[in-house]
Amino acid sequence: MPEPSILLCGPAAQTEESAASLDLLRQVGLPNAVKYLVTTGKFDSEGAAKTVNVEGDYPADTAYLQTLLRWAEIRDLHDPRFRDGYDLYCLRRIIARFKGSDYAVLLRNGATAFERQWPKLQKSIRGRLFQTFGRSTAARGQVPGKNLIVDLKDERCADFLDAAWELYATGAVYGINEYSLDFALGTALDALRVERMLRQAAERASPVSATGTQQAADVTVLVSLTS
Amino acid sequence: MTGDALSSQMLGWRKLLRSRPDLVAAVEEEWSRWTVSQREQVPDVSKPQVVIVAQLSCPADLTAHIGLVQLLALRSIRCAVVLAFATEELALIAAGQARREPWYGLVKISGPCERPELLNRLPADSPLVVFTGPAILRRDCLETMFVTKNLARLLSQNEDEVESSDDPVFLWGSGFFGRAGDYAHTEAVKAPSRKKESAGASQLLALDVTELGLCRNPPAAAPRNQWPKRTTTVQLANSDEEAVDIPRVQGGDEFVIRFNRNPLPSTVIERRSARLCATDEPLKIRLPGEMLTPAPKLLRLETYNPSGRVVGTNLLVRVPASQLQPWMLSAFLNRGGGGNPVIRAFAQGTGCRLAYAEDEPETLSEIPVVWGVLRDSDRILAQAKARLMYFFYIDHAYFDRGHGKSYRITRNRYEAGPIRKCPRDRIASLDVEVRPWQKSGREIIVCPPTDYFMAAHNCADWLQTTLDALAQFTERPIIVREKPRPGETAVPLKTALKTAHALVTHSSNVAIEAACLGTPVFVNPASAAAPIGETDLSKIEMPAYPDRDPWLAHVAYNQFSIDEIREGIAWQLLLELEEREFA
Repeated sequence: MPEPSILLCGPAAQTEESAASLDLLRQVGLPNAVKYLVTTGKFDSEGAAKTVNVEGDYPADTAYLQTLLRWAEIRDLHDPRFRDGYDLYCLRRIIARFKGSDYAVLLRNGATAFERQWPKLQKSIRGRLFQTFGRSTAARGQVPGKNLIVDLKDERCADFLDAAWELYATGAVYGINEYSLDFALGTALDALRVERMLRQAAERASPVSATGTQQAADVTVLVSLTS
Repeated sequence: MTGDALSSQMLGWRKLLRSRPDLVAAVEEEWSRWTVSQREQVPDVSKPQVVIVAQLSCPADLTAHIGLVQLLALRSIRCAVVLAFATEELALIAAGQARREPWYGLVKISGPCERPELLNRLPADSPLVVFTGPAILRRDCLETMFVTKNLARLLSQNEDEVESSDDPVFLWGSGFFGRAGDYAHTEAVKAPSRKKESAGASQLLALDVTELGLCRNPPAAAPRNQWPKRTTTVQLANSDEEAVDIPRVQGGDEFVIRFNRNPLPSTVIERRSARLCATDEPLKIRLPGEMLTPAPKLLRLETYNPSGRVVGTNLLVRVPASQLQPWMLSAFLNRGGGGNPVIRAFAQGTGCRLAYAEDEPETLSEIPVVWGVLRDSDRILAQAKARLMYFFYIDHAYFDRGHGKSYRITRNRYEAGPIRKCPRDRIASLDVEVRPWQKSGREIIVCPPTDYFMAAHNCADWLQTTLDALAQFTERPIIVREKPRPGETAVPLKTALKTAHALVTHSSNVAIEAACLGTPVFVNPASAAAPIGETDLSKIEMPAYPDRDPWLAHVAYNQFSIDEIREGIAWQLLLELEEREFA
């Protein structure tokens, strides 16, 4: 069985972070891992990774993420709600541009640990769509956020990443009381479930198929979500 | 429902609604219709006022909130809308986003701290609707409750009676309908019955827009103003970080603040239910873009009493330049050019909105902060000038120039402007070489602006006009010195000025350098060097040799290092500069 291909994304929100992010990428020696250093300007990665300037096409989204942060009267660009959103934006851009990988990894710390854990991570993500690992992002400050692995083979992946991004892009993450990357991504996954259940309930509502048993099952889940 | 659960619920709901664009369009249309009526019509106090609290996970939920617009569509009631957010930070974000929305000023945005206070403030018999998440209401039930004027009967019922009614209010979703006093005694909103949920969910994608009661009321016509006779003029000069205080008038159950354009139809800029306001506090409003001007604006605050009595007062509202707040600003990036790092630093330092100039719509909602005059910066500036708004302009500094070093920031002009009395500390730290005035020079050096500059400042024939004027008043040799292009070599300015009688330019920084090196300058009145130079070419044989120290101190207070800009020091110094006396 061939080794699964990995899209490895090292984000750098400021030029000064590029070198550190490149260092992390360098430390990963997994076969079939294609490395992308996502920067905000020109940076020579000396062939260790492909460099992508995410601000090169002047995206409005990243400016808006900063605006949300400032409207919330937070000055710290290390705030995890901003930084996770920014890094997720980078990851989505890379996934959209370089297709064909089996997994996407947002690598923000602990490169050697990642390589060591890779076989275990590969097993544990099966059927889960995403998994975070590495250091905690809960504390604000200079601590890098957790790493993220996404199963690109999962058919829900595109919808999931869109939903997750929507939470950051609309500012909804600032409404989460105990924010963490895990919680935000879990919320995105829940939203997909809610949408799917509502859609299924509507589709089953035809006079022929709407049996009491079936509806009761739907409703149990709906009530648990709204309570 | 907790804020955390609401996020997934609302996101899933919004995603589902994307398969019903007609429904979303109908909701948006109803919002728009309600907004227009709120902006243009005086309150009809004969209609009962219903306070509607909608809990949202983010402002994007608004156009997915069908139940809310179903109530707004009812013309038999007056709706006071409260958008409730789970955290204070999210409420601040909503307030920022709302500035670009047509419903800005027409709804109350609240965070978790203020919300209990708001609800406690409501009279016990005040009609109250609370949406705890997405909801669709039964149209027939709404008709019964509101259109057929059964509101009083509804409010007299206790919750159990409503719950057991044959006409449950909620087709889908959950919430509270009743008296504010009853809500206050309810610890938590009851979850809807399974039967109702099931019926709603199964019908969601098959709902007809007309079944919801939307899109059936014709748009309201704008009436002429009915101005009350009694007025009081109030000078306003207060502001705090989040809003501007408006002194309130007493009485009435609804406040309306609008531009005073009597007798022309005027626009309502803010509407507030008196039931949601503390009786002893001023009204706090976030002024719209149109009011962010150096000139005062005349507003009118009115209260509408249920008896039909209207009490009004005129307010002369002026926002002094020294009291501008970060929420009043938008810093504009450009798609290209070299100014983006300093614009980002400015936004970081002040905490203001950051956006691309190219994406900004025609109507500005905030005071613009731009770099240079290219790539839509000029369009933004033209809008600000046309509306007589404040604006900030950022460009290369006078001293310590270069990207990543220092930049000048000026307000409502491109250059430093009239001299204000400033300390010498900043100019001293720049270590600028100032030579004595040279009074025995021979030739005149003319430095024309770049083509870009001339196009942007509408002075395409500046060089020819200047040469023609000089020919009238002097026979001295004239040297035209074009700005060296990148890679070109030119005689250094210092060398060229050694034997110069004067330097003539529009508003180039070369005039600053020349003045410091002791060469008299003739410039456009807009130039930063105008205060120590001449602006009249007929005086070319009689240059001015003023004391340059006050001017240099002032100029140094108009430019800042990139670190000062990023750390917010520049913004504080700019506000302080506005308070300094003119020299």
